[in-house]
Amino acid sequence: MLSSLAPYLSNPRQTLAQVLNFALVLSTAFMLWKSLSVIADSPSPIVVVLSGSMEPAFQRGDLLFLWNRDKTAEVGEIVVYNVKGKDIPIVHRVVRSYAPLGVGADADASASPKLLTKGDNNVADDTELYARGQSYLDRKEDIVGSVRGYVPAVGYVTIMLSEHPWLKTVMLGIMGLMVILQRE
Amino acid sequence: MSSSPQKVSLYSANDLKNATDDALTPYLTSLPKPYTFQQQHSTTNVRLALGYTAVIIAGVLFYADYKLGWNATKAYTGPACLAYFALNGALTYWIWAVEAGVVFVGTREGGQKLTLKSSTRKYDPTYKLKVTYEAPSGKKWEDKEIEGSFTQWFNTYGYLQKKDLQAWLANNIEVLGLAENEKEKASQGKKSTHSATTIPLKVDDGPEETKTETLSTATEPSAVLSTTSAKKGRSKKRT
Repeated sequence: MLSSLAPYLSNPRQTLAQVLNFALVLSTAFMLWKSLSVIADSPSPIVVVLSGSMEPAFQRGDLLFLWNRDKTAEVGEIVVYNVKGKDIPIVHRVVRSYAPLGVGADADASASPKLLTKGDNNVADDTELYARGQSYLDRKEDIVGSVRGYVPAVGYVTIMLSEHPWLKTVMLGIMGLMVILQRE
Repeated sequence: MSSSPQKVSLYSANDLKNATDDALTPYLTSLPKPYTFQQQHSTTNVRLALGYTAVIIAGVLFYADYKLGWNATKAYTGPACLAYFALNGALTYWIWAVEAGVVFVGTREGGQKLTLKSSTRKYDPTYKLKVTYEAPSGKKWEDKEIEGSFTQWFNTYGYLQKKDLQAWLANNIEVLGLAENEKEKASQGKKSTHSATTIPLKVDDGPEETKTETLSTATEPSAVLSTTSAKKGRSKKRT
C-alpha cells in the first residue's frame, strides 16, 4: 500500500500538478455554473422539466434556461418557482398577476407582484401545490426565474437516472469497465 | 520517477517526448560534483500556487453554497467567479508564455544556469531541445536549439536507453560534455580523482570558454542540427 505511493511522493510537484489538472476540470465546471447563476441572478439558471403538466409547450426532459432579473411577471409568462418546504422546482404559467398597490411614483419599490400559476395541462390552478395557507406566489421570494429558452429532450438522461437508480450502477459499471479495458 | 524502466509506444511522438523529458532531470541532477545541477522549481511553484488558489476559491464557494444557500452567498459569488477566472487566465498565460515547454531549469555551484525547453511537432519523431546556458551575470554562453531523432535513444522495444540519450546531450551541450569527461576520468581510476579538483570552478567565462571550444571540435557535426535562433520558442503550443 505504502510502496505503491512511493513514486508519487518522490516527485511531489508532478503529483500535485496531476491532481491540480483534475481539480481544475471539476472547479471550472462548478464556477461556470455559478457564473451563469450570477448573470441570470437565479440560484438554478438551468432546469429540467420533470412533469407533463406543461404539455404541449414542454415535454418531460426538456432543458430550460432561466432569467431572473425582471421585477415583474406578466400573465402568460412561464416561470419556475420553488414552494417553501418543498425542494422540487415547478414550471408553470402565470395566469394572474397582481401588481403591488400604488402606481408610478407612489409604487412601493420593495413590494413585488403576487402571482397565481397554473399548468397548461392541469385542470385546476396551483393553489393546491402551494404551501399550506399560501394562495399566491411572491415574485421576488418564490420565483427561481422565467423561461427564456429551451432545448428539447436532452435533460431526459437526468430523469432516467433519478427515476431508475439502478441505471446509475449500470453506468458506473460501464465506465469502470472502459477504464479497465483502455489500459493496454 | 520510478526506477523500473517504462515501455513506451514507439508510434506516439508525445509519449516518446514525455519519457525523454522525464529522463532529463534525474540525469542532470546526478552529474559528478562540480557539474551537478540543482533543479530550480520557481516557475513550477508559481504555476501550482496560481492553480491551487483558484481551486481553493472554488472549493470554499462550493462549501459555502452547500451550507448557507444561494441567498447568503449571492453577494460573494460574483467576485469569486471573477477571481477564479482571472487566476485561471493567469495560469493559462503562465503555462503558455512563461513556461513555454520548460522541462528543466537548474543551477550549478557557481551559479551557472541551464534551461531546457523541449518540443515536438505532431507526428514528427524529432525531439527539439532549446538549450540556454548562462553565466550568473546573465551572459549567455549557449543559446541554441538542438534536434535529435527519438531513434537515437529508444531501442526497438520502446525502452529508453539512458546511455544513448546522455551521449546525445553530452555531444550537443558543451557543459554536459565536460561533465561526461569528468565521469569517465573518475571511472578510469582513483588517480584521476585529484585531477577533478584541479579543474577550476570559474564564475567568469574566460577559461571555460577555451575549454569548451576544444571540446566542440571533437563533437561530430553530422549528428547535430543546431540553430542559434531563439525565434522558434513560441511554436510549441501544438505539442
